[in-house]
Amino acid sequence: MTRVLLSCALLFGALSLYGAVEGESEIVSIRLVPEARTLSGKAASQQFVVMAKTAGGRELDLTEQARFTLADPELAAFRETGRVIAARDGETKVRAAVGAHEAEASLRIEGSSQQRPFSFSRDIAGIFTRRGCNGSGCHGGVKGQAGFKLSHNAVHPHDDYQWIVEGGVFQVTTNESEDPKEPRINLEHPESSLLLQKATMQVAHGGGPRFEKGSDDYATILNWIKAGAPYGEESGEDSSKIVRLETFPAEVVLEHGSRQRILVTAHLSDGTREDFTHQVLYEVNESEIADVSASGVIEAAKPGETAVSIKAAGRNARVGVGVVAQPLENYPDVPRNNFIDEEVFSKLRRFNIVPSELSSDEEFLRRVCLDLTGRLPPPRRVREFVKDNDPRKREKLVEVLFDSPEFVDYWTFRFSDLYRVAIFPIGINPKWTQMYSEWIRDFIERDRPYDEVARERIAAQGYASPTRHYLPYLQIPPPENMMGEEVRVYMGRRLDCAQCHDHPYEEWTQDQFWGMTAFFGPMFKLGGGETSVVFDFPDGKEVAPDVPSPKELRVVHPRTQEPVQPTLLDGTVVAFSDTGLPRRKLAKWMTSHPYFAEATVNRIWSLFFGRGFVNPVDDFRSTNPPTHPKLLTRLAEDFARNGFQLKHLMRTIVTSRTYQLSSATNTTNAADKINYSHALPRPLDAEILFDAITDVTGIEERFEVGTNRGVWRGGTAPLGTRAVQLRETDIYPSVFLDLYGRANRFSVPERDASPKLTQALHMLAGSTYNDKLWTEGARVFDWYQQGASDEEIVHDLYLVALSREPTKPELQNVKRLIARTPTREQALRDLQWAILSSREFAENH
Amino acid sequence: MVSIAAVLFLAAGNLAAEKPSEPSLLSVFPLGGQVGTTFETTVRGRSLDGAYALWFRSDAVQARVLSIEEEPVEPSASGNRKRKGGTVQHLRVEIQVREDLPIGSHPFRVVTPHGLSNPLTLHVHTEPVLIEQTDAHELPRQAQPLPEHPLAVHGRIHEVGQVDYYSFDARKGEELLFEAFSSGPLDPAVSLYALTGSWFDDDRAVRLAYHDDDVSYPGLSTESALRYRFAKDGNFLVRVNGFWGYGGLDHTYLLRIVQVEAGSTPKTGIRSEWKERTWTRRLDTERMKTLWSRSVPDLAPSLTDDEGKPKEGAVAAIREIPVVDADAEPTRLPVEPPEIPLPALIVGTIERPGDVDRVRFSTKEGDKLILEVETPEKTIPVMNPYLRVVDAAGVEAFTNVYSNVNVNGNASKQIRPKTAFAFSRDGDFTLDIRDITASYGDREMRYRVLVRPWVPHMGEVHIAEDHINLVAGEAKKLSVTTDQEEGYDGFVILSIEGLPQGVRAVPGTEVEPDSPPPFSVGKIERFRTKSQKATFVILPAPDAPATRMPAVAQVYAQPVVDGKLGDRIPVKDLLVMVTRQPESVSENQRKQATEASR
Repeated sequence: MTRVLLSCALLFGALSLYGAVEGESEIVSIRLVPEARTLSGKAASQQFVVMAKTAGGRELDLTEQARFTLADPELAAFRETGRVIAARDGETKVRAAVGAHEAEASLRIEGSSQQRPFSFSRDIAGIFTRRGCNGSGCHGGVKGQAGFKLSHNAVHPHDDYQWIVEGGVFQVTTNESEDPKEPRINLEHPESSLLLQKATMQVAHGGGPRFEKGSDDYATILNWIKAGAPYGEESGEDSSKIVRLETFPAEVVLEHGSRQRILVTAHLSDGTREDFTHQVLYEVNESEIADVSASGVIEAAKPGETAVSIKAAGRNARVGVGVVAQPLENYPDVPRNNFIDEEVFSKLRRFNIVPSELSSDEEFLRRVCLDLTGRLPPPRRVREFVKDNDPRKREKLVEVLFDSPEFVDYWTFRFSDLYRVAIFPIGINPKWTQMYSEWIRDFIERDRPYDEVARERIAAQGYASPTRHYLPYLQIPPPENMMGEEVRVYMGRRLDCAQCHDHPYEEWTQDQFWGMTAFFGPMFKLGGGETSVVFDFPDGKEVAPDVPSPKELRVVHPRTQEPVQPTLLDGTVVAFSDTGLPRRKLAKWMTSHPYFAEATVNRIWSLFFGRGFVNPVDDFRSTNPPTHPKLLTRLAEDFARNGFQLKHLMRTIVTSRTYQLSSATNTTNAADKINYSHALPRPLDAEILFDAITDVTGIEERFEVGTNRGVWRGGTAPLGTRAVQLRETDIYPSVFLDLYGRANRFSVPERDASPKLTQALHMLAGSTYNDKLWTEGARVFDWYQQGASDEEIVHDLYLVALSREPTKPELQNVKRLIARTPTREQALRDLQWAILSSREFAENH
Repeated sequence: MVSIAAVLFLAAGNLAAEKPSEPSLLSVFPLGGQVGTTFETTVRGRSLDGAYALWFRSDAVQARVLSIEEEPVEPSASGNRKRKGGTVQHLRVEIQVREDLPIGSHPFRVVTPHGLSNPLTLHVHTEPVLIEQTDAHELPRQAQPLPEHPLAVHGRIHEVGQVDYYSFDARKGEELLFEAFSSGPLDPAVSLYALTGSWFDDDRAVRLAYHDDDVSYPGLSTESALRYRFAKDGNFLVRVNGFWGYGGLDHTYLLRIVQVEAGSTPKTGIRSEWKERTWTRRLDTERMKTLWSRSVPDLAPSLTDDEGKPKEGAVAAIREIPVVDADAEPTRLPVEPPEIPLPALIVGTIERPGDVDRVRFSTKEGDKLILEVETPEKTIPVMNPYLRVVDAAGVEAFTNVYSNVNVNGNASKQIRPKTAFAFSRDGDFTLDIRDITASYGDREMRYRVLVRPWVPHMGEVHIAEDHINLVAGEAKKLSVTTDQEEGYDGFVILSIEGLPQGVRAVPGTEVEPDSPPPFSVGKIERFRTKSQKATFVILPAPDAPATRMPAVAQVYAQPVVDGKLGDRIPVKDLLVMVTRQPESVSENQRKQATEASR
């Protein structure tokens, strides 16, 4: 009765007024999804969903409220709401009605008397996935559970079959199972099989009941055992292999309490499609925001975003779920500059979040200068820009900044971080880092296509500059490390977890990890000292194997101990040829894969917004979905279409209204941190902050060459060298830069920009914040010496540090404080310190 | 001249107190001067007391010592005025360069009563000289203006972190060469800037080009050479800086600014010694003859009999085998490689990435072959020729890659320009010639590969010293190591001629230092030869007269095989000075000073 009432309430809500905005939620039409479908095989089924369109343009799931009928009831039958089961071959229509609205879909049934061939991977292993048996927290964990191992999400059905039929315990480093081997099935007494008894709790099972005795899944497994537990049809190349899962909808926005049924369609390797809605496992990331039923119905709980992950044997998919607050009246019509705004503002509209106003000229100028060049705009440029009445002045400024030498300095610094230009503690060869750094500088300066740059590094050989990336030490690093880094930097994925076992959360397998690693296996260093050359053993075979090497020079699978062939993530094996270079093929594949563009776009985007669509920026995975998948795709496609040119990408970003929104919030967007409804203040990175302090105080720094351990002291960087121009940060010791989280470049860097107590102490007593304020050559000191008035000094100080004039109240307050301080000198010194210590100065906003 | 004498007297007096050290030079400034002129320069060094001359290999350059002064020492924070490493002196000299002195670098040494110094280099150029200003010019706005080029700027990176900016005018389309050389420890880099300013900074100099040698390796300069074609008329900046910001009084440099057509400074070295294994040594069809000249040529197998007919079993003359038809090269197509007679000089090019040139040859059991490779243009580490010999079954016989386990316990591989191999059976073999990478190939990646039989001969003769300072009555050791190439089993007569009066070279012995335990050395016999070591004792008599200028002594080596003598081959020039004990130095110097004062 409760469900009926709830349904009635929902139906009433849906049919009358949706939410608070009168008229907008009136239903104007309905449609059936899918519109047409062919069912093949005995008892094939299809779930249908009824989507209603409101006057306001929104879509609602009214499947539960719809009345379903078939034009020819002889051909099929409804088993559950909207789910059709095929009975006889033929063509018919599926009809749905909600109130006065009707919709229909075409249904064709063929081969209804033909039983689909049995497949272990699909029919049995699929149950393990759907029932959560092979999840990473259960038997799909690295070593399985309670002596029973299944491959994660059934990615290795042959292994699963072996472990069930023969028994055995998984070993990380070998394919051999340890004794004793205990089969999980009993062919003589099928119902006594552990596989069934544990899942139904006839025997104690730590994982609890998975299905009931007599259920469909129970029957499927029992019948399989009775039939002798065959493997059945091979899953490798056969028709039943799932290529990918498609969901409807891909993303859904719901109001509190509303529901949406998910449709899951499996695309099979023979080109056919099959409804998998009732054959998959649904899991929701944030159950506080929304819940999902075992049959795939999402129910919204409270405003926020989450995702439903969907697993079928060997494949994953996800549906993004947004739960919105109350609809707004008079949602403003926000201007859009480019497709970034279309995507961002559309989502904001769906979530009833109003974007902030356009930033002021001063706000934009400071932000874009810091983001494109790492520098504060000089005071006279601030005045010029504010006075300029040209409506295209922002676009023009962006081009000026692109052409500036400061742009080259800054992005060389950014990519030197990512590309890890560093000497390292043992100091192999500083000339190598110079070569590597100059190569980075060159590609920034010339805006070389980034895919070309990536290919150069991935496949670097010989004495060329990017090869120095592969020589951070006396020896070339282990191939698995090199592979992991290249995939992380250029594809935004972390395969590392798959090194010792199949990835616990993703589809990456140990075989894929080592297959990719094998591309880097033949790399070797020729010669010694300064002239070391990187080469790959031709043919993948060691050159002149005249001495037993202390280390394995091939890539060997840790479990099988067999040499591994270079294999792309998609399974393509790249053979060593006589004169070819497998890494070159890898580089081409990586840079032409959509992952490359989206990973690059995501990384660059994060530098302008403080976060990527995916965070961390190099941790793309189905359980860490992008906040704006469509925008990410569009940006990636646009980046690729425009020759992978970084400047084009940056231009698209900074000319969008989204980038130019103010950091001042409104009542709807103050809590938003992920939808780009306003600019999020970002702490300046250590080097940028240091240079900004230098610019404000006017006292340039002389960075000493050395290390914190005191070796190599003696040289210094030229006077006037800025922190972003330091080539190898690890040889320029700086307490300030370390405190504020400069990247150490030992591994793919992730800056720690979190505030720390030591920063506060440094602010109070450290040399950077104190010694430069009042000395010969310091900006304010010189003004003071030249007899500038307080007002002049305050104006200029605000302009140089904050890129804006002081407000009248600020000016009055500051002047009053100066007057109250015992000496004017002390007051001006304190004023500088206060400004440099302020969040407004230390953040990009 | 009187002043020199006075200096010498003073110096001699000091020397009597303790045994003097040999002179050592740190740097020179300016680094040289214009050919056909007379100029002053100052040599910075230690133990230069009594220095009275500079020694050059050519008499087209003359030097006159003007003064010797002690460099003042800035007191340290603790008030200590003692300099680490000892007193530093400035030797001011006048250099006269005749018009016929070749342009380029000329090594020189300072001659003192205590011997001969280490060498420094004097650069002689055709361009007029400009000396760096004393005012700081380490910021673009402080750049020192330069007059019209061509010119040669002599400067110094005085302090750590210092850079020197110079401004100059250039015209559109003009292509200039900026060459920087150093004298002391400076590793100069050269950058070009336009003074365009930037949106942020009106004084910002925008970098146009940059050059610093990536590495120092044999045959290539460690200096900086930047070519740049200017896209427009204007005033530009050139910057000189030391790598990693090092600087100091010895960090002197010469910056040469010329039109590109004027050419780079030629390399003027001393007479080249025999090099058995450099990548750029010349390989030609006369190679075996040349090698036999380092043995006993009469023992070389004759090609013809007395009647001029080809002699059975004789080694044929080397034929040059050009590999010019790129299409015929079996890069990917299974083309039958051409068969070559032995010996042969294969001349070809790695024309494109992945290019493999392949030839076939036949050998008999016991044949001993040498593979030598020359890279006349691009060379190590830009071009890395990899030679691989496989038998008819595709089994690798040998390569020019030397594998071993190095001192760090890591596998190490190096390609070598010469490989020796003895065949244990008859067979047909294929030689692959390629770059060890699959990424490089162009018209400059030329090679010459010589496949020839072994020629037992005397290889390189190694003598560490290039000069010896002797004190009368005190002996010094001179070690000579002679390589025995390709199974050379004769011996070598060594002799030294041209020693100063009262100095003899007599045979001696020395104790071999302990060697660290060997790691896995691999097939080292294919790549490294055996050697013999001999020791001379250079023995000046107690009454041997002091030399005023160094004597140029020659070391000769003469192969002897089966009792037959080969040619006497000069292998090294040695500069030898004899000095007296400090007491007698004083007397001697007085004599010299008296003569000089007359």
